[in-house]
Amino acid sequence: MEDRKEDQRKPPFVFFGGKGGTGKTTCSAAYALRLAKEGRKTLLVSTDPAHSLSDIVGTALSNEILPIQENLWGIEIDAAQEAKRYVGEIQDKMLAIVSPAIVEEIKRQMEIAYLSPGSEEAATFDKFVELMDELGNPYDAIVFDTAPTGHTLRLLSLPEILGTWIESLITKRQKSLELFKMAGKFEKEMMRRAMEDPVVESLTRRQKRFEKSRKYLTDPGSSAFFFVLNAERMPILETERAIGLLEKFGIPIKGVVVNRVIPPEAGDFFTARLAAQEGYLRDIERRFGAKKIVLLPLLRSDVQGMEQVEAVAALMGAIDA
Amino acid sequence: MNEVNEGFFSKNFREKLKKKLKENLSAFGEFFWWFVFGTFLDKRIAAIRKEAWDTNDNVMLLLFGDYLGLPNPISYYTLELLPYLAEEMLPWQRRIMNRQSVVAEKAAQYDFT
Repeated sequence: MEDRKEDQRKPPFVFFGGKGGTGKTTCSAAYALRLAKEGRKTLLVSTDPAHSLSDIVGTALSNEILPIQENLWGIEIDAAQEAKRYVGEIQDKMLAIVSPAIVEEIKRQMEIAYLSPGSEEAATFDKFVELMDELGNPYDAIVFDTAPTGHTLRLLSLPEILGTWIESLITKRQKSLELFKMAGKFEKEMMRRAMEDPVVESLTRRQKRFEKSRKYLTDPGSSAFFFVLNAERMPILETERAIGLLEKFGIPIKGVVVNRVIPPEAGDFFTARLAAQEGYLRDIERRFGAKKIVLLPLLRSDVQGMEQVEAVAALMGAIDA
Repeated sequence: MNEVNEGFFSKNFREKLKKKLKENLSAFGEFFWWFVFGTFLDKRIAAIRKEAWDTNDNVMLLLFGDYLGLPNPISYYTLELLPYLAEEMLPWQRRIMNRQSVVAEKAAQYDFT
């Protein structure tokens, strides 16, 4: 009973973000493993185009959800493949509705949209929302290993930006339909156009989807965002900027994980670095003191394979404390 | 001959006449309707119709502007509207590429004669 309550307090979506190379993947794998050990069915998702999740968990992952171990599943979102599937579906639908001659003419334009900037993010985002919808069936928690900061910021701000755009599109389209209705009083063809409009319907469906994902992302009860950084100057500054931006979009940041903290028992060589690090750690405390701060020590070797992830998982305990 | 001749014309002939009259009347009715439509209604509606098509073209521009070189943040999502708008696509592109004078286009809406 006590356990159940504890479970509900933890948000089901946990994101790990940060500058490249700070150890996002390690942290997300370790945290997911922790949840799995607690008996929660956990899905580990990598949205980074340069996937490294497979290397850490030691299981080859793909665009399909695959089991890693008990209570733990993993997936590496392949944006190119997702986009291809999406375009394929549209082409099939088009063949059923319009004549093949027109489809042939328009194929070139579909290629353009497919290759346009932002299409990979949109594909990733779609998959991302699709996965979020799977919550509770069968997963209790989803841990996201996100791409380096810039990419993630774009991804998470998508619903905000696109939502507004779609809204204005719907208004515009409805206005045009209204005019068609007025003009179509004496013409059947005009009237037909105005009455049945799959475009508004389709746009509204998209809009609802964006709203839902936005609700998921901005509700502290359903998602938590952690930034992973090192006790060094640049990651601190970048993290601060990123936090500011995400908070502007209404996405709550739960805390920061400071990775590769040099342990005090390190040798002479590190004494100087240790002193510098002390300064940076104080800086982190000063800047992010209002949030949760987790310190992960620098390990003797790189994290690879589930046994080593398990060692980190034990240290990740501080995240829930 | 058993058939009773009730009127001036035979029954057969009367039936034919009735049918012919009906046809002529409906043809006249249709003619009259198009006359009224062309003389009084069409000009008024034309302005609205033009506006409707113009707004529609603008919507198309917002949806598929990237095909003309205007960046569109949701081009990936508007792709799924293509099946419904594919038939409008090519005429729209032709129209939008051939626009020569916006002023002339607007002026054509008004009756200066």
